[in-house]
Amino acid sequence: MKKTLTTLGLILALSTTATMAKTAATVNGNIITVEEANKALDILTKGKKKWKTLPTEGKEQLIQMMAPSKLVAEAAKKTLSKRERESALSGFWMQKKMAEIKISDEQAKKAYENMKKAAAKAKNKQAIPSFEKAKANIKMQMAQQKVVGELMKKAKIKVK
Amino acid sequence: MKKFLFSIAVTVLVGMNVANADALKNSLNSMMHTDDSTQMVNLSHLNLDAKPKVQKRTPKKRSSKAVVATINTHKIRKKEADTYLAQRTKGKVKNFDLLPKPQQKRLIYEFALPILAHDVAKKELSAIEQETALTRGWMQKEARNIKVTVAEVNKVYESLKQDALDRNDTRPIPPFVDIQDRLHIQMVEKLMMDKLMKDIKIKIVDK
Repeated sequence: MKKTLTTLGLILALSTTATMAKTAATVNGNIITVEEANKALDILTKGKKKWKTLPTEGKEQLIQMMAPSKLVAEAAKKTLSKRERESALSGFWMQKKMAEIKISDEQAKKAYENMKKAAAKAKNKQAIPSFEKAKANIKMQMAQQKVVGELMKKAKIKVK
Repeated sequence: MKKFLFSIAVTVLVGMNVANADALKNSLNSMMHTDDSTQMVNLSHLNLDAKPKVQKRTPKKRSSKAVVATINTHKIRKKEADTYLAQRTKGKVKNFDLLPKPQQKRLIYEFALPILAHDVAKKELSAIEQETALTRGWMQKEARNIKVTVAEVNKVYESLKQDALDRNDTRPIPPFVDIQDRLHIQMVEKLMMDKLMKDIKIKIVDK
């Protein structure tokens, strides 16, 4: 009985929150709440304006600006396959992690010199770009290697 | 800013794919370029007096539903490994069981990467980040379907150049090759947005 009451209480609380989220406008039937509109206004006007005080023309302009992201988000939810969703999430996470890793110029230079040596040893005739040109790419590769290395270190993989 | 981030995302993703492909490619390449001699059996060296030898390793014959590997709690079925192998070797090798053990291991490790990344992503990314990731994924998918030719990009460049000249703009105009890619991305984005905003119905509810 107690459990049932708690569950009912939670459902009621959630539905009340949903009802409280006041609709500011709809874009092709998709709801934009007043809260979302105010968040966008905060960014655009640095907190100077609120939805409530905007003239109708201003409200229309704001919704027109917010519409593309709302539509893209809706389209993404509806049209991406399971695999595409997974790929989008893992790609985003990888980029986030890679951005957190700092590779110094010295580290990149060391890797560049090693690559140059390896190319010379392999008698590779391809022209090697200068360090300045290759630096960003090398740093990205090194960061990626670190992220992948960490990920693999924690993984339990068995081939049967 | 959005456009800049979008172009960076595209560049990074392309770079990542290329880098990931290298390890397995090198290992599988040698196999792909070796002539397949299994169709004919050379009997010229057969020693009829020798004792029969037991073959050291016979390829396993497993059903497509058999679990060929586990990645944390994920079970990888042979069918999935076969599909991935066929994809990686452009259809030249389709049976996971025919790969030597070290290559099987390498293939599974490569296969594991997006699975592991997805598991962590779901745990670590906030709701907003997940929505951003999906939005970006959708935009990249859409962008791949929009074709803009070099001639079309050049036409827009020439028109922008003419506008600048008409305005007596004193800033130097960059050559076409320098801004071709950026202009291309902008045009693709514009076409994508135009398509999205076509027949849009906006209704202000809270007036």
